[in-house]
Amino acid sequence: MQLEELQSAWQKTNDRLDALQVHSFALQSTSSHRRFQAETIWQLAFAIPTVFWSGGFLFDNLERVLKNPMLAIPALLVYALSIASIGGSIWVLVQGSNLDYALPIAETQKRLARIRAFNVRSTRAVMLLGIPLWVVFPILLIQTILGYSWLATFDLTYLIVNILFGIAVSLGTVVAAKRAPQSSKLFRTIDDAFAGNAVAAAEADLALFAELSEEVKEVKR
Amino acid sequence: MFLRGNLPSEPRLSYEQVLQAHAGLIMRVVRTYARSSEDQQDLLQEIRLQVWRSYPKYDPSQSLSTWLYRVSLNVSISWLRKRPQVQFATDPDEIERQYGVSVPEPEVTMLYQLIDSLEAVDRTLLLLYLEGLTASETAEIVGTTATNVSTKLSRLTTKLRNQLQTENNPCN
Repeated sequence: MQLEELQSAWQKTNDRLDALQVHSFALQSTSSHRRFQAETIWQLAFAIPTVFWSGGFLFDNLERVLKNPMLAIPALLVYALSIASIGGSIWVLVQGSNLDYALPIAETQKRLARIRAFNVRSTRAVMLLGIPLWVVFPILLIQTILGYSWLATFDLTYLIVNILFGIAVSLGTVVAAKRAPQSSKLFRTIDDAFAGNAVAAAEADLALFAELSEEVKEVKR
Repeated sequence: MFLRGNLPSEPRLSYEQVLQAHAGLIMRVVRTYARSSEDQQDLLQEIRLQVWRSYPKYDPSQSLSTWLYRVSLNVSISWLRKRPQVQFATDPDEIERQYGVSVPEPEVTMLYQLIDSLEAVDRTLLLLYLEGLTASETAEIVGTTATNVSTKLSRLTTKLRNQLQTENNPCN
């Protein structure tokens, strides 16, 4: 079979399908809504209450943490991490919604690859910093639900030991994900994030589309 | 083949009129990137939404089909990145929905297998080649030079010829 035959096969199938599908195309609803950057919205949905939560926690325990500032470190870290996560998510959402899909493909895809690379890197940073901080979440949760402040009775050694334990657990998870990435979806995601596969894919796209659009700039010069 | 844009004196088409007039173009892009009817509907909705969002900024002095190709191909390339590997249909009803007949001709099956084996950008180049667009028209859509398009198309067609020869003479 030759390429010309492919062209005629393409035409034949499309003529046949156009006759069948154009009508249904016209009847479809225009009120569809896209699952627009759902992942980023989920990050925001988690980060915004966390900011209020950790901020409120610090405010409620202001007197205690002023007496012993070291006790404020976990909540301050969660607060800072959530603010950084919100900043990153808003940047991704703004860049994504300002993206012009009517620009030449190389240009639009280059911008998309840049957003994707940023998104993957920031998610990885949040994961790296967030996992060891797990210890502060139960403290905040109990404080919020029961109104009982563990900060007042907990000693610093307990917190440090728990943070170290969190680091050990997260390192163990990364190693396990690396050894058996196919055993679960979570392990695959972790392995992709830490091995840099997702960043590498976004950067490869960026290089490909930058190369395509650079040639136009060369000709214009 | 390549449709020119509306003349400035012509009344601007409404969003629905644009979709109606170019339904075939959009559906051909959809069929290049999505195989199952469920995926095709999903991609179609994404394209419709992006056309609706971008249309207020459309400059009527520009070719409408070039503009539509850009929007629908940009959406399709992004959509394809989020998808796992294409699954070929085995259900007779699904085959009919995909090919318009219950038993597709071997060359049609082969064509779609070739399309599915290509990366997103090569798929775009092949689609525009099959649609009969020239290298400079393709370059305008992709955002590169006509020379670059010709080079890439030449490599792509050589690769496809080799693949076709292998398919035709599996013993060689």
